[in-house]
Amino acid sequence: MQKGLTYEEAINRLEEIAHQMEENEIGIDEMAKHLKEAQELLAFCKKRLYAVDEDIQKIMENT
Amino acid sequence: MTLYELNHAIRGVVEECMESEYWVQGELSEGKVGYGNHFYGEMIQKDEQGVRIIAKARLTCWDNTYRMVALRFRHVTGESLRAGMNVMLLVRVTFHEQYGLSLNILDIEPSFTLGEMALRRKRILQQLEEDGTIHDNQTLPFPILPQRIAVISSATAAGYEDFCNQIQHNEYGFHFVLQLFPAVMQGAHVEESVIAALEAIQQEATQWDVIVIIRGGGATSDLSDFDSYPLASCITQSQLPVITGIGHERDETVLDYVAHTHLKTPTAVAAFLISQMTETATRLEMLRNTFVQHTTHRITYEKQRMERLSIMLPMVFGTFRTRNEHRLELLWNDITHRSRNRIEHERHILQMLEQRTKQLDPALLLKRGYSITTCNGQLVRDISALHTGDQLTTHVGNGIIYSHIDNLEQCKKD
Repeated sequence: MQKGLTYEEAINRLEEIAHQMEENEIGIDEMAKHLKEAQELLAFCKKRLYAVDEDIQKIMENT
Repeated sequence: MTLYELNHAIRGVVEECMESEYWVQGELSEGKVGYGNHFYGEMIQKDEQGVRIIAKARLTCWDNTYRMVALRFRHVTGESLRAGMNVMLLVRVTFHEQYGLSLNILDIEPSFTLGEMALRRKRILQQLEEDGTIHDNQTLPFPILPQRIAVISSATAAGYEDFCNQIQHNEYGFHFVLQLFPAVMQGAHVEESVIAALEAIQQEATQWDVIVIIRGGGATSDLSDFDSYPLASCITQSQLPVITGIGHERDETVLDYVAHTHLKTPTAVAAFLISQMTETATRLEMLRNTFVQHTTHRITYEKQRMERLSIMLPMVFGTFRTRNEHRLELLWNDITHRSRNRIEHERHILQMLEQRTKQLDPALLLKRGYSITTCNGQLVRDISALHTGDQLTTHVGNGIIYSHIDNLEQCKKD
């Protein structure tokens, strides 16, 4: 996974993988590699999401 | 012969030879009402250039006649009989031993003087048109708050007092700054006096908003004092708008033509200035109301917006995680589901292929009772390639048969 990736870039890549799957654009040989990438992206997105959510909660508590 | 005898003889000749009455025209160079309310004056005629006097005569008009003709003259011309006017007089020539020759006025033709005055006014206006300056003062922008007023008038004039009273006690309580620049408003010195006042104001033009020229209310005479080219020029060159109120109903003077605004009386000028202030005050009030209204609306709108956002934001941010989690879950499910489907699909294809391959296995065919025959290692497909005595090798389900060909018989084709 590339360094300095943003949440938006990550989720866009996930959308792209889902689209490629839908259109059968991924060969069987590549499938495991893409699924692994998707799994990593998902983990990254969740991590970012939870971190931001935590920040938001803290800010709202102080408002 | 004594002087008296000589003059008496002249008188006789004059009375005998100059019996008739004569209409004579010329310029009234002097004129005043003297002892016994009789009129005494002098009439002259100048050369064509209007410089040199080429004829002169004394004038008299007795009390009764003078009262009658002067009244009619003023009624028609709006002016009193005075020096500098061109007049047409009905006269009788008289000669007195003591006073000499004089013309006794019997009547005056006012329309002649009126025509002369109108002609003079027309010439001045034409000159101003030619100069291209006649509308200069009118094109000056009028101040939105005409509060600092330079007044040209006579300090003792009733019109000036009326003007000051009306301005200073205006019902709206507007504050005005007035300063009198005194000037002679009637008679031979009007021109130079008003010009001097105008020049004094121009020296401090930045201190004033407008110039007002007013004259005693009700005065209807001597309008032609204001029919002056130098005075009109002075107004056209003014940096400040000039308003006139020189108290006449009958006619307009050259001054009125060139002024920014001309009104009939000093009180009309005061009312005009107050109305300008009122107009500006009304505009300002409207602007203020508009401003207040818009500001109130905007503040209300922004308050509502803020309230809406303060409710919406925690809600939106509160559900932010859930919404995004859901999105990620959907994406993940989609990807894994499609991966599984794809694998399943490929597996199915492989199964189908396996089945078809199995069906074509020769061992399976041999088990079912089919056999495979070869000759010299070659599959036997065509009888024509075989000969009697050739050795055949036949594979069946459970063994191999070796045999020799005794006879060959080819099947007939259909």
